[in-house]
Amino acid sequence: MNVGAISLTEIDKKTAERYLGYGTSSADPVTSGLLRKCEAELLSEIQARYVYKIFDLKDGQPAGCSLYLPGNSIREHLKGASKALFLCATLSSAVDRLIRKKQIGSMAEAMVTDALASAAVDQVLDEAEARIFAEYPFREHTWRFSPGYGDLPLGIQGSFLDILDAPKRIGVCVSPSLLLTPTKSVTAVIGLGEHIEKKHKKTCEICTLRGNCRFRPCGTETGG
Amino acid sequence: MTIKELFQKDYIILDGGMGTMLQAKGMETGTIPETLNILRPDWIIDVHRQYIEAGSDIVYANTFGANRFKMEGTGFSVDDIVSAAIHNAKTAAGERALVALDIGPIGQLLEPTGVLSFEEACDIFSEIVRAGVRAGADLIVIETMTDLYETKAAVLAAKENSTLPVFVTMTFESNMRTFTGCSVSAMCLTMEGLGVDALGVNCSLGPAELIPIVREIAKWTTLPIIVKPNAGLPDPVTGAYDVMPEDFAKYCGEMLDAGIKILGGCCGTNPAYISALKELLISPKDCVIKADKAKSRDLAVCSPLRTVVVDRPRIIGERINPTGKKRFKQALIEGDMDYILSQAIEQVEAGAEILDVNVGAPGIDEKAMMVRTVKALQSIVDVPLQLDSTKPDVLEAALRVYNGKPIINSVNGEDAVLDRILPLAARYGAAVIGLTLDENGIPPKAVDRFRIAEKILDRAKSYGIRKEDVIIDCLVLTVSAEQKAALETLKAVRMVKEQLGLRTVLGVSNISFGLPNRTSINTSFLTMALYAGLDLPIMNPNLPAMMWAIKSYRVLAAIDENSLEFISYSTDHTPADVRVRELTAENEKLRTERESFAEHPTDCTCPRCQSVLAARMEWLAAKLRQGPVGGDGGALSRSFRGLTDTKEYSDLRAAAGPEGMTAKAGASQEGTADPAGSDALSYGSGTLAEDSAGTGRNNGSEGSAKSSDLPRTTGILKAMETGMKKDGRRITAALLRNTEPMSIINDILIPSLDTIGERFETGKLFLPQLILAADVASECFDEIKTHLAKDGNSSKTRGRIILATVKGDIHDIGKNIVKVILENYGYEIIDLGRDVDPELILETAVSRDVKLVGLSALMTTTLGAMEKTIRLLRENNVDCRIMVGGAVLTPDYAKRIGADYYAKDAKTGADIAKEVFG
Repeated sequence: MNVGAISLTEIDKKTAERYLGYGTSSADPVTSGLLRKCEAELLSEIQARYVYKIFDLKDGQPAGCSLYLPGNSIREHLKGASKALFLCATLSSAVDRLIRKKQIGSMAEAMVTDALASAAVDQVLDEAEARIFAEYPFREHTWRFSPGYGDLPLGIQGSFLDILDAPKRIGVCVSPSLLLTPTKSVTAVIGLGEHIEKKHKKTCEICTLRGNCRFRPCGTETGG
Repeated sequence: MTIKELFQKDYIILDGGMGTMLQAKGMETGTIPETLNILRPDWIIDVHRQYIEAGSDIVYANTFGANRFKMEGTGFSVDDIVSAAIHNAKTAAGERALVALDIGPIGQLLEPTGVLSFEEACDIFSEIVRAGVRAGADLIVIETMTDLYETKAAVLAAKENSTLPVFVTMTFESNMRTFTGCSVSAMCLTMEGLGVDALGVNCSLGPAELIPIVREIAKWTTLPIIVKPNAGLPDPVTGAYDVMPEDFAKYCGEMLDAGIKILGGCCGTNPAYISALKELLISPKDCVIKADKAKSRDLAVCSPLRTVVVDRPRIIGERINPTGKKRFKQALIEGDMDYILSQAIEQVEAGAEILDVNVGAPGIDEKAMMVRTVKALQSIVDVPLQLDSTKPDVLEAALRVYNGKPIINSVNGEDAVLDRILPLAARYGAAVIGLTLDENGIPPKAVDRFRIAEKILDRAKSYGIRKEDVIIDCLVLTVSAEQKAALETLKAVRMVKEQLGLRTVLGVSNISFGLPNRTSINTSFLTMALYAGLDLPIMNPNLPAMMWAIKSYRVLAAIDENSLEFISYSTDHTPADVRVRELTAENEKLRTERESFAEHPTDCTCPRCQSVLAARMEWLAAKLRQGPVGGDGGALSRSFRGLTDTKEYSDLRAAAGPEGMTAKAGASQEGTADPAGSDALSYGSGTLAEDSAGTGRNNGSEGSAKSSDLPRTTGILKAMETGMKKDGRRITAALLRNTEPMSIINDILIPSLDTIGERFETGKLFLPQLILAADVASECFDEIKTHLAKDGNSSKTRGRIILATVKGDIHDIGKNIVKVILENYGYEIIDLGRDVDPELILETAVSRDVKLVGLSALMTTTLGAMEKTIRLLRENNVDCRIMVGGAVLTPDYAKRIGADYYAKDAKTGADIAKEVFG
């Protein structure tokens, strides 16, 4: 069980714009101004932390771990991997608080901050991955597969967090309806190995929002 | 051995880690350790036995996570597990050690970040405590806590369901805060107030890293301190902890002089660490620090995030109070929490360090409103609260749910009042304000008020309240009615301060009732009172003159060293200067951005060009307002001009002609290198002309309603496009002078919103711009509401709509966006919040006769709750339409679960409302 902290100096505003529905258009000057203002405030509140654990895979399942990863999607995802990295990261509850507060003064700022925070979680995960991969030099790794993708049930969130001791290590818990709290938190499984089949790219196939996505027409590959 | 006997010892030794020991015995990752109390009692008993043999005086029973959530699905009840765990520990301990019921975090976050309510948390902990008491635990330890609120719930549960001693330890990071941001001082103030027996820190760090945290704890408490460190930090590769038993004991030894009495180990420690501790503590230490309960301290109050020490005048914001405020009363009646919260944010931003909270008004369920308000306030502002009510049941309810150490406002010298309210202050650990009046009213003479203060202090002490937690209000009378009373009040303040050594508070603004130019009287009185010894002025921090008086006093009284705070405040609070600085930067940026679409014609009306022009206009106006820079007496005179911001701005605009020309001249000089300059000017003149048209109509001169309204509509629309909230409010205020409120709403605001909405639907504008426009419209509506409230009216509603984020879901930003838009369209919104029970929605829909219900859900896991809510409404034949929305919904799915409408976004929501209400 390893824990780390990450400090961001900038948030990917292009991604935030995409979350705000801009698609490929760029934001108007007023919204750009909002993005810059909210970015600065958000950066001062984020206290990003992550926790991870690496398991050997035996028949596609983590060895020495009481959690069974059910379903075809995760089996496909981990095909060819020799180890599985369990990762959880959060921006901390201060971000939830900031978004709550923003909603009183300006809903537009709240929405922009929310989008920026979603972009920031991805950056934190990228950075956490980069650090972990530097420590464990496997030749290849899969992308991040989260409970709720494909047929990997959200119901495993609680056990997943317990295995990482996430409530104690980084303050991430799950609600009875399986939402992660603080809200800007992510859990993911990543396969590590020497020969992972390249065909496992992130596609819309496994997305629960397929056919109803605001961000891109279905069938295209995500930026993931 | 009893706990009392144990406390006679210089040091008490706890045990070490349980999890690490069980893993060594072969426990698999993912096993719930508490189940082993029943499945492998031999393992558990053996671990306890090893610790006791190593020297533990107290062992923690294996009940850390034995709550009803974690036990769900294990096949065991909380009672089964707790009684087995205590039994195992007692079996190992015999007479050699005491057994603690160990209570860890529930494993779910409490409101507001999570969904678990404070009351439910209390209930969960109570169940564990009752089981522990039945099983014969000797004491209760609450440990590894990161949320002060959850810790408070656990302590209340312990206190209310047992008479056992309570130890509390929280888990701090090296930044001296827990994950949720709770400070060391907040833990100490709050927990000591709640009457725990010892407190401290466990887990997260090794003993070396805990040294600064322990020293900080020692500053804030006189209770025995507990330290239970990890065995250092885990190795990033192997996960093994890096501090060996000898070093562990050595580092602990370095902390002893801070006042530690109780020591043990947490993650990664084993009996060898406990033996090393025993070794360390066996020889008598000359540095044993006995807790000094009588040590005098400064008054301090706190929220988890902020501690306010009253070692200098501190500002209590008075605005959350309906007295004399119609708009606020209306907000209370309508349950408009957003308005109340906006009042809080405004005061904190203006400099309030504590907020007084009073929600008592005729026709209001004060207790329910108080609880709701306190919870809402502490979810968004971090200043400590002052709970203001005369009713003990209201105060008690507020004290229970308050997260931190608050102030009670107030008691007075009447015996009955003292004996009703002081026990509450003692039980919940609050500071308390005592008014110097009694059954005979307010004594005119200072000396008699002083006597009442003395009585209040004595009585408070008799209830175990510490002296520093008693604050005296010598009462301000209206100077226009009783001119000599002002000096008498100040005399009493001085006596209380000097002779009793107590902190003092005054409601400053009362002084000037009935006089013109109240601010002048208020600021002068404030300065006099501060000099007489006032510590806590209750005042309106939104009045800059009052804030300057406080800041100036802090300089003159040599509190603000080298005037640093004053200088920095002066830099930040000269609005005109600041705005010009901001706008100059903005202007630079806009110029660059304008260049990137230089092909647009100069009279282009696209939103990008328009927003550049609007921003340029504001920049020019602000520059103009500021006047020539330099040679005018410097920052101070400019700042005072800045303070009258709004008036000057309107004067400027009203004056139109000559000053407009100045602006023109000024701008054309710059214009050479400024492609947008001339455009800005033409827009600028347009705006000025627009106001002249309004004035013309005001004077009864020619001009049809159409020709004068049209520019104003444009003005509102412009403000919406550029997100200029102040402009929106100002133009609305101007309109209200000669236009019917409903006509402003129907003929200007709503058409403007429609225009923006159309542009959004056709892809010319994007969501943030739509919402920004809605924010501006909200400002306009608030101005109208305030205007109406003055006459005791409220705006007519176009229809009543319930909005709720369904049970289990906490992602409510989408619902709140819909709310803003619908409110702008004039609908009355009953916002039931998030995580809403289907039954509450049903009950509200029926009792308030609601014709449209909007439900949101963000996650697939909460769609079930949405379906259930719809079914409940249908089964009860509620005559209402239902619209649903949320990221995971589809039109098909909406139909399938029985919704009447699928709202893909907020604009669609408004269209649906229009369809339903006509």
